[in-house]
Amino acid sequence: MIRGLLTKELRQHGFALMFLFLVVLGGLALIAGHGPLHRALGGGFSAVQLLHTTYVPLAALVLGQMLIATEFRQKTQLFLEGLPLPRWRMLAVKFTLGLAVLAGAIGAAIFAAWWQARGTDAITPRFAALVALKSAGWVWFIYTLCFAHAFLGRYRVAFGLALLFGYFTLDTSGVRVSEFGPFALIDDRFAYERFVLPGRALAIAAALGLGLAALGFAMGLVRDASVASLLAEKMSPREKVFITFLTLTVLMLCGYIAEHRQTATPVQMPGATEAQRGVVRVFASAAVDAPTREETAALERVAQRAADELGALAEYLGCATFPPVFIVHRRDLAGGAVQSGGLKPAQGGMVRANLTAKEFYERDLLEAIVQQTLLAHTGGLAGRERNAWVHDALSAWWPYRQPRAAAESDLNPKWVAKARPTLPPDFSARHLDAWLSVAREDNLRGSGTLAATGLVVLAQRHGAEARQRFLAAMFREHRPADFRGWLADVFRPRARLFRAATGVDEKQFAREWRDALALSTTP
Amino acid sequence: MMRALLAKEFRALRPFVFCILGMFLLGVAYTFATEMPDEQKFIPSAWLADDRSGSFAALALFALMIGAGVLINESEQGTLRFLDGLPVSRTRLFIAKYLAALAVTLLVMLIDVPAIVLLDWLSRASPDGPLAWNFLGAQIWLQAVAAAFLVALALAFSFVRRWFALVVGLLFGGYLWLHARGVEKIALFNPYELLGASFDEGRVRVPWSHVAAHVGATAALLGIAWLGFLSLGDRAQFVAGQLGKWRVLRLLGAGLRLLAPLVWIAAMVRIFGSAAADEAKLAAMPLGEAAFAREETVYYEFLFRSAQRAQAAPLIAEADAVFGSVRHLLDAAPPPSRIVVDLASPVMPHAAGQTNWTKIRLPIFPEQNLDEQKLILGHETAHVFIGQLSDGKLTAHFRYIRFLHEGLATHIEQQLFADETERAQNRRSVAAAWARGVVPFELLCDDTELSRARDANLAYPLGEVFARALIETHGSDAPAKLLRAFARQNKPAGLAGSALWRDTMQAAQLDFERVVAAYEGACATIADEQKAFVKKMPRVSATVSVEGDEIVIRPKFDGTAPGDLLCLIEGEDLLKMEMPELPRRDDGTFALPRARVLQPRLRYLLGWRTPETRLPVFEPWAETNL
Repeated sequence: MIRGLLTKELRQHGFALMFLFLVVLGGLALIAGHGPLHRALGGGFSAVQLLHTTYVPLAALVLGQMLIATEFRQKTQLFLEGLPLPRWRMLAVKFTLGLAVLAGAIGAAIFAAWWQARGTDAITPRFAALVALKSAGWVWFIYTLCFAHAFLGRYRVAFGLALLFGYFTLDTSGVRVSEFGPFALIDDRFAYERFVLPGRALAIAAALGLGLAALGFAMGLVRDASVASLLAEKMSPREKVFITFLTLTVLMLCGYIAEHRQTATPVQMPGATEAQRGVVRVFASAAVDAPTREETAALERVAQRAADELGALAEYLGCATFPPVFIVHRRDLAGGAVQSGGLKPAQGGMVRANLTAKEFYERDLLEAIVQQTLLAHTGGLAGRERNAWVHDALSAWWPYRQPRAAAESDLNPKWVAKARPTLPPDFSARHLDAWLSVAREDNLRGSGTLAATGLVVLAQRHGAEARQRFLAAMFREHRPADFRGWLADVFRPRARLFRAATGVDEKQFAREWRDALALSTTP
Repeated sequence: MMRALLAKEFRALRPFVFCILGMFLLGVAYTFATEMPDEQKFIPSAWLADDRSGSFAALALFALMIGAGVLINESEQGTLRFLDGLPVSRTRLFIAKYLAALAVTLLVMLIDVPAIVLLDWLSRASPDGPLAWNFLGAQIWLQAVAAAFLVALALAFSFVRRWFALVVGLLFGGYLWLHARGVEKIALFNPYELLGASFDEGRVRVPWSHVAAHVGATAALLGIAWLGFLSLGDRAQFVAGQLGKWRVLRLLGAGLRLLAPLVWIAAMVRIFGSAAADEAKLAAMPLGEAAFAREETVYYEFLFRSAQRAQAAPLIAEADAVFGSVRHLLDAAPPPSRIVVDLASPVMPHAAGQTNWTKIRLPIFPEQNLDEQKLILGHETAHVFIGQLSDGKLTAHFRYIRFLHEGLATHIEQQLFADETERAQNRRSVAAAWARGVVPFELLCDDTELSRARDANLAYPLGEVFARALIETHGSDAPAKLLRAFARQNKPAGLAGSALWRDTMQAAQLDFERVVAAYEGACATIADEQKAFVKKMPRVSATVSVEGDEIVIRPKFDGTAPGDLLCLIEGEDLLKMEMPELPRRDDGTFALPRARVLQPRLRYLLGWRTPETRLPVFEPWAETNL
C-alpha cells in the first residue's frame, strides 16, 4: 500500500519533483558561471552555501505546499483517508518523499560543486563529511519547518512572513540569530571550515527538526486531521487584512524590543583618578602611555575640582542622582580645545582636553563638564532650544559664580563687555525662545556669557533663592532619553517654571535683564 | 452611476483603509515609544538617504496588495456577472476600480504628511528656517506618480495569478540584465529612483525624465489591465478550461512555474553586478589548463595549476616562515587545519588576494616577484588569524571593524614583509589623507560613513596607524585580546560605532581613550613629518557642466601635477560596489554620457595616482547638481 501511495505522489507531482531537482543544478550553474560572484565567493562550495540560503527554503516551501497544503486545501486528503491505511503512514510517505527529494537535490549540488572545484579546493574526506553533515542538518531543519508550516493552512503566509521579517529584524538589530543552531551551520565558514565539527549547532538543528516534524505530524493527525482541515479553509478578505495587520504589529513590537535592548554599556576607566562629592563621581584619566608627574597632578587637581563643583551643583539643584563624569587628558589636543567624548546620556558626560597645555583654562573645562553632565542628566533635553538659554546660563555661570550673594550686587564688567555685543537690540522674551538664533548670530562667542548675566540679574532683582528655585525646577529631575522624558519636559515649560519660581513673567524679566546690561559699566 | 461604483469599490477596500490607518497609528506610537518626538526634523537630504526606502516599501506593499486583487477578485468570487448585469460598461467599471485603488494607495502617503509636518514643527529650532514645503510637495506628487504606476503594474499582472512569482522574477531579472548590459535608460522605470528628487539651497530638482517614463509606462500597463479585464469571464474561463484539458500544456505550465526559483536566483546573482574583471591579469593566467597540482607544507596546502609549479615553488618554500612570523606577531595559536592557498583562481578586480576563513586565494602572475608574493601571503595569513582569533564573529560587525581587519593585516605586512620604501608610501598616504581632512576615530570605525565621505580604501593605511597605536599602547598581545573580546559570549547586542568599540575594548581590558588618542596623535604627527610631500600634492577640485549629451568634469589645481589625475564616479550597480574610473581626455577633462547618470546629481572622487603613495590620494567625495 505504501508503494501505491508513493506511486500516487510520484504520478501527481513527479514532474514538479524532477524539476525541483534540476533547478538546483541550474542554480548552481548560474552562480558558478557568474564571474564576479564566483570570484567574490572565494570557493566552489560557496555556491552551495548560497543555494542553502536561497534555493533550499524556497524548495522546501514548494514541497510543503505541493505535498501537504494543496491536499488539505482541495480536500483530496479525504480520498486518501478512505484507504485501509493509518493516516500517519500517509503523512510519513509525503514527509519522506519531500525530504528525500530535497536531500537528493542538495546532494547532487554538492557533488557538482565538488566536481567543479576539485582542482582549486583541497577536498579531504573530513572536509567533505563536514560539508555533507552541515548540509544535512540545515536541510533537515528547513524541511521540517516547512512541513509543519504547510499544516497552518490559511495562516501559513502570515506566519511565514512574520518568521522571515522577524529573522531579519532581529539580525539587523544586533541579535546574533545567525550564530544560533541551524543558522550557524550555513554561516560564512560553511564552505571553508575543514576541521571543526559544529556539534552543538548540529544537535540543536536535529532537535528542532524533530520537534517541528512532531508538530507537523501532530497537526496532521490530531482529532482525525480536523484541525489541519479547518486551518486549510479559505481566508475571508477581512481576515486577510486582520492577519496582515497583526503580522505588522508583531513585527513592530519585535523592532521595539530589539531597539530597546542595551545599546550602551557603562564606561569604565581602570586606573583613573577618582573623586567623589555627594552623588557626584568624577573619573579623570590620561590618554597617554606614561603620565608625567605634572600630568598626574593635573588629573588629581581637575578631578577634585570638578567633583567639588559638580557636587555643589547637585546639592544646589537638589539632585538625588547625577551622571558619572569622565575627564580625559589628551596631549595631542590643542591647548584651549575641549572635545566632547560623544557618550550616550545613559553613560554619563565626557570631555577631553589637554590639561597641561599652556592655554588650558580650568574654568572652560568646568563649563564644558557642566554642559555635558546636564545634557546626560536630562537625556539631552537640556539642549533643546526651549531650554537652551537656561542650560547655557547655568553652564557658563556655575564655574564663575560668587560664593556670596552680596558679591553679585554688580554685574562683572568683563562679562558685560563680552555679553553686550551678543545682546540683540530689541532683546525680549521672544529671544529666550529662539536662543539658538541668538547664539548663532554671535557665532557662539558670547551667548553663554550673555545667558549667565541673566542669572546674575535674576538674583539681583528677585533674589538668589528665586534663581535657585528656578534652576532646580529646570534640572533637578533626571529625565530618561525617551518619550517619558520628553513628555515631562513639554508639560513643564520653562516660562511656567520661571513664573512659579520667581513670581514674575519672562517678559518683565527680559526687560530687566536688557536694562541691567545697558546700565552696567564695562572695563 | 460612477459615484455608486466608486462607493462600492471604496466599501470593498475598507479593510485596507483600516489597515493603513492602523499601521499609521502604530507607526506614530512606535516613533513616540522608541525615539524623541522632537528629534524628527524633516530634512530633505536625510529623508532621501534614510527614509525614502521605508516610504517606498509601504507604498509598494499596499499598491501591490490592493492592485493584485481589485480586478481579479470579481471574477474569482463570481461577482463579475452581477456587475455585467448593470447598465455600465466594463471600461467604466475598470476606471472606477483603478481610481478607488489609487485613492486608497495614496492614503498611505497622504496620511503621513500631517505627521511629518507635526513632528517637524515639534523638532524645528529657530535657526533651522521653515519646513521645506516645496520638497514635501514634490515628494507628494512623485509618490502619487509612483503609486499610479505601481497600482497599474499590479493590475496588469494580477491576471497571471499562479504565474506571479515567475513573471515578477522575469521582470526583475530582465530589469537587472538590461541595466548590466548598459541600457541605462531602463532605470527610468525604477519607481524607487523616481522618488530621488534632489534638494539644493532651497530648490527642488525633479527627475522629469523618470516622471515621463512612469506616466508612459502607467498608461501602457493600464491598457494591458483594461484588455485583461475586458476578456475576463466566461470566454476566458472557457479558453483556460480547454487549454487545461491538454496534459502536455498542464505539465509545461507547471514546469514553467517552477522555473520561478531559478529566475529569482538568476536575478539575485545579477544584483552582484558585472564588474569587468581585470582582463590583463586574467589573460596572464593559464586558466585554460585543467591539470592541477597540490603541495603541502606544515601550515599550508597549496593548490595550483601544473604550469604554475615553477613560479609557485619559491613561495611554497618560504610559506611556513611567513606563517611563523605572522603567528609570532599576533601571538595566536595556529588554525586547527592547514590553510588552503589557491594560486589558480582569480579574485575580485584590483585585489591582490582574498581570504575566506581558512582559505586564501592568491593568484600569482609572471611579473610578481617573491617579495611581493610573500607580502600578499603575509597579509592574507593575517586575515586568517584575525578570523580565528575572533571565531568568525567579526562579520556580524563588518561595518564597524573593516578598518581593523585591513589595518591589522596591513600592519603585519608592513612590519614583516615590506621594505622602507613601501612603509614610506604608506605613511605618505596617511599624511595626504589627513591633510585633506582629519579622519577621527568616530569616522574611521564606521565604514559606511567613511565610504560616504572619503575613499573607502583609507581603511588600509589609517587602519594600519590604528593597529600600530593599539600595539604600541598595550603591547603585542593587544590585537589578540581585542579580537577575542569581539568573540566573547553574552556581549551586549545592538551596539554600534564608538559604543561598540568602547565596550569591546573595556572587555579586553584595553584603554579605548588611550588608543584613540594614540591613533589621532600618530596621524597628526605623520602629517606633520610629511609636510613637504603633502605640499607637492595640490588640492584638486572641479567644475561640472552638462554639455550636449555629455557631463564634463573640468579639474582645477594649482602647481604641477604630481602624477596622473583620476576621477571615479559613484557606483552604478545596484549594490554600489563598483566605482567606475573615467578616462581622462586630451584636454584634461573627464566626461561621461549624460544618459549614464539618471539622477539630477553626480558624486565623484578626484585624486592623484603617484608612485610615492601606496594608494591614490583622493579628495573627499564631491557632489554636484546637474
